[in-house]
Amino acid sequence: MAGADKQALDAIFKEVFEEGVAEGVNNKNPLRDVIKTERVPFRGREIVRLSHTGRNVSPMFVGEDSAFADAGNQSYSRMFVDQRKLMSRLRMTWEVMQDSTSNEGAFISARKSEMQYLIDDMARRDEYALNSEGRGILALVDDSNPDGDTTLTVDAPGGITNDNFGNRFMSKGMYIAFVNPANGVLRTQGAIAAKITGVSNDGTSVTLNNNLIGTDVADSDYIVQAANSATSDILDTSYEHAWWGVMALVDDGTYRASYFGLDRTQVPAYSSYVTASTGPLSTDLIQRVGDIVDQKLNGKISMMLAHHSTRRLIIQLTDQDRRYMGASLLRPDPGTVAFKQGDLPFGDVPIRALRDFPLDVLMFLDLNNAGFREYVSEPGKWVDEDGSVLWRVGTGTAGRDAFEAWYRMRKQYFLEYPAYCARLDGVTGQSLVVQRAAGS
Amino acid sequence: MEYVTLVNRSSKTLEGVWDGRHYDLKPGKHSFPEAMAMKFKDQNPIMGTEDPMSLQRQHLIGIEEFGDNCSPIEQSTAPVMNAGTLEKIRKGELILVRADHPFNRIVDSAPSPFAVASDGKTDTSFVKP
Repeated sequence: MAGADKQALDAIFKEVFEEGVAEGVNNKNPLRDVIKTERVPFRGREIVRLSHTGRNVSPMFVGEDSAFADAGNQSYSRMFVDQRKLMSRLRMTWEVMQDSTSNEGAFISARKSEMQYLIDDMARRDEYALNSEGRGILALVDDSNPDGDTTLTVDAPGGITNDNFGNRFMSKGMYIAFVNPANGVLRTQGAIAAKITGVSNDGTSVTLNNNLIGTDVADSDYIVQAANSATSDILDTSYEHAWWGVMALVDDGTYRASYFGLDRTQVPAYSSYVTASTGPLSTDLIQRVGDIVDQKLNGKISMMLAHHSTRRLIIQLTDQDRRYMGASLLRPDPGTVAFKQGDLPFGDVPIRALRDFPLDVLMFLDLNNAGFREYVSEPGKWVDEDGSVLWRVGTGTAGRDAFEAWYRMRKQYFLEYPAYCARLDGVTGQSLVVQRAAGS
Repeated sequence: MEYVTLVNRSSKTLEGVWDGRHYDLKPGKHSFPEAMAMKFKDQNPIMGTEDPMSLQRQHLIGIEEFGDNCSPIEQSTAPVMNAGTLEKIRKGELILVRADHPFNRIVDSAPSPFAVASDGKTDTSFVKP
């Protein structure tokens, strides 16, 4: 039928753009908010902490004129706290900066977008590191013969034992490398720096841009982030360059046998109470851990941390007993404060669910006495020692009308008294829903 | 650092984690530092064997120098005790079976009505009222 309709006059219509940009990236970093650290400036080669680690054992009950014990002495140990660095960079052409400066030309200024969101992305990596053990491990290889794979199966996200959701810290676009866990050496054969082109929805694998995984890559090798496709030096990977997270600080040697140079098996004060292969949770078990921390070093648990799937197990502990639901039985409320992501209490101690926390771990923290510290040499800053945040890319034939900016953070986390805290590993019974944080 | 002899009592490769490294422990004997061996043992219990009074568990790993039982044994195939299995017990779809230790209770699937046996086997003489 002839006449004017929207299809015929399509050319006259404008697109109407809403102001602002919708946020599709989950920028909440809850563990960073939980760990209220004492910030201490870093100087010199490394921070040396002296620790009183043993007593004089000569005090002895004796009879009249009897011999008594030989002289003893106090024991001291030194700990050496280093610094770990997180770097990032962005690159923009002059055109993208110039053409996006006005509201008429762009939703958001490219310069503002790139520089502001990069800091959020740094915070995201900070959160990942804080949930892991400081080796910069993304996951472990979960394939007995990965040689030549383009789909690589992975497990143990962040290096923390678990068969599920191995790709939770791996993102499309990252270059990866493989590290021999026996000696910390980069695997050498094949193209060691493959690029991730996709992450599976079920959390078990990543796809790579080539099939050149080396023949010496083995099951349970560390997968770490590489700087670029040409990476052939362990220095150019994230391996052992992340700051220590809570799984290293609150530990008994499972993930960090050496606590800043001090053998955890020799000094109980620096070893947390950790139960491996815990199994099902119970109220008695949780109470037991609180008691042990008190017996060991007079610790008083003030917060518990868990992944959401583990927190649901704690909710289930009282399912059968929450029979009087809400103020009125006409409007029964079978939920708990956890439904609105509030802190579920256990003995008045809040249980906080964290999206990046190890999947089968329940951690007990004495935040008042354990002494979380953050030794900082650079809390976060655009690199500008040469007087400019943005500088030209290249010179001569390599010169381009584009600009780069770098951002750096440098610090290390430290826990004064790990024995004030505890951990239950290998909690079973969860119904895990694999759900990536939006934007990662 | 004292080394001890760790024995994987099962017929399957077990996993142990120490200092962030994952170790494959094939069936048979291995030599490890004492602290590592103790941790590996702790990481490989036979599920469902914890004594609620003493908290002692049986393990798939034994340490010869400690006088541990190092005879062959396999992981329990019993369903994990959780809210779901407890509900099935209530419905009679699962049955409680007494294990070796008098305090132990492990869950085993069984077609028969709910019953608790005294000899570790299903009580066939039990008649549902």
